[in-house]
Amino acid sequence: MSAAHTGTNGNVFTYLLSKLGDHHGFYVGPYKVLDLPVILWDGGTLRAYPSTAAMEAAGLYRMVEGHPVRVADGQRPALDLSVTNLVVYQWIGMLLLGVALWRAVVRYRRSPLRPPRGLQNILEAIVLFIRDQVVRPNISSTTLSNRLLPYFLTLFVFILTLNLLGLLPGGHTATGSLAVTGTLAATAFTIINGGAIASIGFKKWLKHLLGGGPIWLSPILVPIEIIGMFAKAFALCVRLFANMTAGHIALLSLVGLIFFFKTVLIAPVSVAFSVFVYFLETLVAFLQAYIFTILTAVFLGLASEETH
Amino acid sequence: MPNFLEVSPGLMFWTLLNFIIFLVLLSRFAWKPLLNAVEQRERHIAEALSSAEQARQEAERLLQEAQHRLQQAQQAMQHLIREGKQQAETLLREATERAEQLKRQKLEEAQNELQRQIERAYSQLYTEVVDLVLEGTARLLRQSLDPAMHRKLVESFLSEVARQN
Amino acid sequence: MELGLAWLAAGIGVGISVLGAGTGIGRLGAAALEAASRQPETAAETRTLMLIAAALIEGIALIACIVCILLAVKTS
Repeated sequence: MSAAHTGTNGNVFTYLLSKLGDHHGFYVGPYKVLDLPVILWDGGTLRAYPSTAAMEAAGLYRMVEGHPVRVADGQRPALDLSVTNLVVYQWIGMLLLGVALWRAVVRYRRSPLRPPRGLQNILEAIVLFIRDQVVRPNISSTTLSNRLLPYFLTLFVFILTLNLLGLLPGGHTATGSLAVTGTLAATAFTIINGGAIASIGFKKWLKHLLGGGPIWLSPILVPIEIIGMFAKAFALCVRLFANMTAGHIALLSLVGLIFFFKTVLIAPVSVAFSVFVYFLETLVAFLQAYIFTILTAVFLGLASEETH
Repeated sequence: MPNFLEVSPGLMFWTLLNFIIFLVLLSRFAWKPLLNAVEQRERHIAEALSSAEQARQEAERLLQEAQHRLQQAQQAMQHLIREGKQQAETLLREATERAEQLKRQKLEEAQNELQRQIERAYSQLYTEVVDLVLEGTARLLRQSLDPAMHRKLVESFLSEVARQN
Repeated sequence: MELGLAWLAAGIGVGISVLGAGTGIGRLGAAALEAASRQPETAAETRTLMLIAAALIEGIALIACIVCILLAVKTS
């Protein structure tokens, strides 16, 4: 793929695809605007450099295809804990959300009974929506739903903010990375099973693994249920990632058409379709945040049922 | 493997860290006060609604009571007016009747009195005329006739006169 | 040659998975619309259930698409 990065001719698409995903350094659009620290855990020692240039200057590692590799043997370090582009985008999202929520909370503190205004109104609508449409209808146990409500709220606003940040011009979508969605799905997996165990106890949770069948079917059903458990989380991860990436790939493909056909005549078509896809992506950004949250709630509700 | 399909453990680590810090901070400082405020407002609104409903019912009850009273008052008033009118009419009628009666009585008395006067006048005139005639005749005739005879004669004449009148 | 076969496989695979997902979502949408028009009072609930089911179908299709992308970007 290295040769394809030149961005010539038919390799435009591959070049554009390489702009998705994670990078060392803070990018706005395709431009690097800030160097970010590189932190490498290798051979039992933790090494930190202020930037990739500083890392290369130190002489132990160099960048190959966007990744640091050892100069000595060309292998990647054991663990690359660098602060990367998508980490910074997560921080930006957290910062924006934190400020918005803080302002809302301050206003609530000052006058709790006044009707909400502006941003506060949006946040309150989101809170009420998650509470009344997502968490409470799906999780029958009131104590469980009340205890886990902050998790679902955080999950929803976190995913939503990252999705929307990726739609800003020049923004990168943190949720368009399998690592991010995989981590979120892992928290969902933990919450689903941990919540079920906390709610109905370990024995009843084990009974769920029988899938409601008789005991002699357990050799078939138990593996299926266990696979299903992981498949749910895996599907959550891939669904969010693929939805967020698919829209970007569609946009890039449409823009790539111009270069592919080497004519400006295709540009109006590209732009029109891009705008359409962009609107679709805005819808998808909300929808996928909602889907991820509600599916987690539904799975938790199913896992913490006490029917059998 | 294209860039965007890579699963970088470093990014997973950072995401987990970010998410957990975010979750803890938000649950502590944002969601708790927000949810509390929302619930407080919901309770407040529910209370306000129920008290408004109570107030409405109370107002309706009061309105009905007031209307009822107004109706009663109107009825009483009309009753009073009717009674007053009746009384006034009765009084008027009675007064008129009495006045009429009094008038008739006075008239009758007056007529009676008049009659009596006339009769007395007549009888006085009668006696006087009789006396005058008697005296005159007596003077004229000088004992030619006894007075009793004389009187009878004059009286028959007088009654003739009265009949002619 | 092998690369060409991989691209071919990716193209055919994505077509078939889209076919399956499209059929599934189409049937789901039809059923949901019917349910919503039969009982408009439960339309909100129906919509939620429809979205969940659609997301599940979509998940399968997307996993298939990922496999196809992996095939398509095969470099050796």
